[in-house]
Amino acid sequence: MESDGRFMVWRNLTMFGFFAMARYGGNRDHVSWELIGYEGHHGAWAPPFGYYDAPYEEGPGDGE
Amino acid sequence: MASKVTFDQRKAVDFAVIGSGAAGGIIAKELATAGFDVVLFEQGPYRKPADFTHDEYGVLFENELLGGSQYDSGQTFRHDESETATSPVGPPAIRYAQTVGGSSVHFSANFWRFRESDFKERSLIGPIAGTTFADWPITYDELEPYYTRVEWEVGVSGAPGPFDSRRSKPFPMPPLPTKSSGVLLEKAANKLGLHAQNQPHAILSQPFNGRSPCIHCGHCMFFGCEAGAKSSSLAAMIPLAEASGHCEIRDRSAVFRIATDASGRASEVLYYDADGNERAQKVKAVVLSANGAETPRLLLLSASDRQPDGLSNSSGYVGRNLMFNAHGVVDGVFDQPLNEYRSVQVSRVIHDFYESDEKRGFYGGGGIDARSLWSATPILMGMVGMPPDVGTWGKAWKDAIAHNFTRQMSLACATTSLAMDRNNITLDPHNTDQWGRPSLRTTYRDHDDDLAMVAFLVERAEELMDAAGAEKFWAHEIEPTNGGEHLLGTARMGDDPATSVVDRHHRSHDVPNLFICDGSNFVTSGRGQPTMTIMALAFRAAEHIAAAARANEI
Repeated sequence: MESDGRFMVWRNLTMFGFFAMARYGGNRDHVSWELIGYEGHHGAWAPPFGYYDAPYEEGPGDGE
Repeated sequence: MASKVTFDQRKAVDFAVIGSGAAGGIIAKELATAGFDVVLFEQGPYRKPADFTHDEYGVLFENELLGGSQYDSGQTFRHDESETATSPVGPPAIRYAQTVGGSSVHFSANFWRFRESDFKERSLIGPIAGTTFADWPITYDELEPYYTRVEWEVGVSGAPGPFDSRRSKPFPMPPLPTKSSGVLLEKAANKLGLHAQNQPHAILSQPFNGRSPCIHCGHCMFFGCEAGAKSSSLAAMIPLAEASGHCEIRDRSAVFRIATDASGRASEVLYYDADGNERAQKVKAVVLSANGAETPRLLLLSASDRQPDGLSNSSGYVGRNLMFNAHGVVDGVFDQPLNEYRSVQVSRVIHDFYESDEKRGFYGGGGIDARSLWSATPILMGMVGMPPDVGTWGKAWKDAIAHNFTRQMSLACATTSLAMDRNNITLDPHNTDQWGRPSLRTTYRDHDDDLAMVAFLVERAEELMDAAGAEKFWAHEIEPTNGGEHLLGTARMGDDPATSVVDRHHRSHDVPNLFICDGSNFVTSGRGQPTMTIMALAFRAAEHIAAAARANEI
């Protein structure tokens, strides 16, 4: 099925509809973004951004 | 203070600068603040920071900032002359922003200086058959003061790395914070005896020159910066150019010809205005900074009886020696969330493999950085970032994107490209763009050494993913490049008019009042991230152009 070009067109269009900003008419209440953990409607962030940089202290940056 | 000026098209303006991007924005600002009258031509519209959105569909898939799809531009691509150039589905082959500020508006703002070796590799390594591998006519030391000016006038965050070439002044701002991907890369590098240095950025980590710092919104790559924190020429240079009262920004104006007079000097810039009407601006001199694809196209479009092979093309080098930088990618998934969709693309980079090493058996060098890449935005992730073993739809795919989106990072390998005559920009014989100009036709096949270097770095990136503790990782297939954003080499600088288009001060060998400054002047490709060097060349070129104008030597 994936080798059928028509399938991939519809699959990609589905993805546009599901993941694009809600103003295009899909993704109501950010349902797709919540599914994947994307808080894209927040405009700004501050560190730490993720699990691995939470305890991190900036070092010399040269691997020493 | 800030007065909007307009210049009469029938009176010769001191300078027409064609292209408002990384180079053109700086040159227009430098010449205008030195008191010269400048018309800055830009084929795209004059967007302001408030016009930039986080609309992934519009920006990535409707190509809003690129000025439309390849169907609007008529762009075509082929790997070599035996193929018919076509316009395949997907993004156009040559990808650059049509907007005031050019591609400095939508780039990721990774911002390395080149090294001393980049300017003299031909002397260090020797000739390479089938290529036009050559030294630059200038050295790192000659460019160093201008790298420093970029850092301090345009705004660069960073910290020195262990292999960087000499710098005359520290960075004006500390590096941006290390992301989870950077922490993991540093951990892996330490295990393997490599060095994960801070990535320098043309993005502000602190308030600078009245501009606000980065808000870590995560929309650098492909997007414009709504905070004005990305040091595009739009954010950093255009306001100063306009405030001088000597610079008119003529946006939505697509130049189709540089006309010359009987003495062979550039006399007029012909363009289509926003309504598609033909216009002509009389000029005393022209600075062409339209990027490594549009610059050669305009020179070829400006052929005349006197210069039948294109303006400034007595060498035949216009459009030739195109270099994209080759790329490779390894994706990896980790146990805990990295949330790479937050903040800038890259925070750490490895430059241990920067120098060419004959022990590898081929020419080349490059960097490996840890970045969000596909996992910066959801559609891109679904299109390109998914593991190869979950198919393209259904429960396995859905479970994988739900788990991986916040837990994935990429190691991006950026390498050298060798300059070759066979890789070039020409005018498409069939297609025209939305203005009616013959379209860009790109012919490009990487040198075997370029792809060997990608393969080498991808192997190193797999070792790094393993050392970083990835649950699972996979390399993207290494294929011949089919387009690019780094547009380099197509109007080479050099001392010999037989093998270059401009001299060491960016003046055309053939047309005394034509200057060319952008990525097209590069003699070699560096290892990716060319914009810092484009901007440094622009400060240097502007200094020489202004001095020549003052001395009445243009």
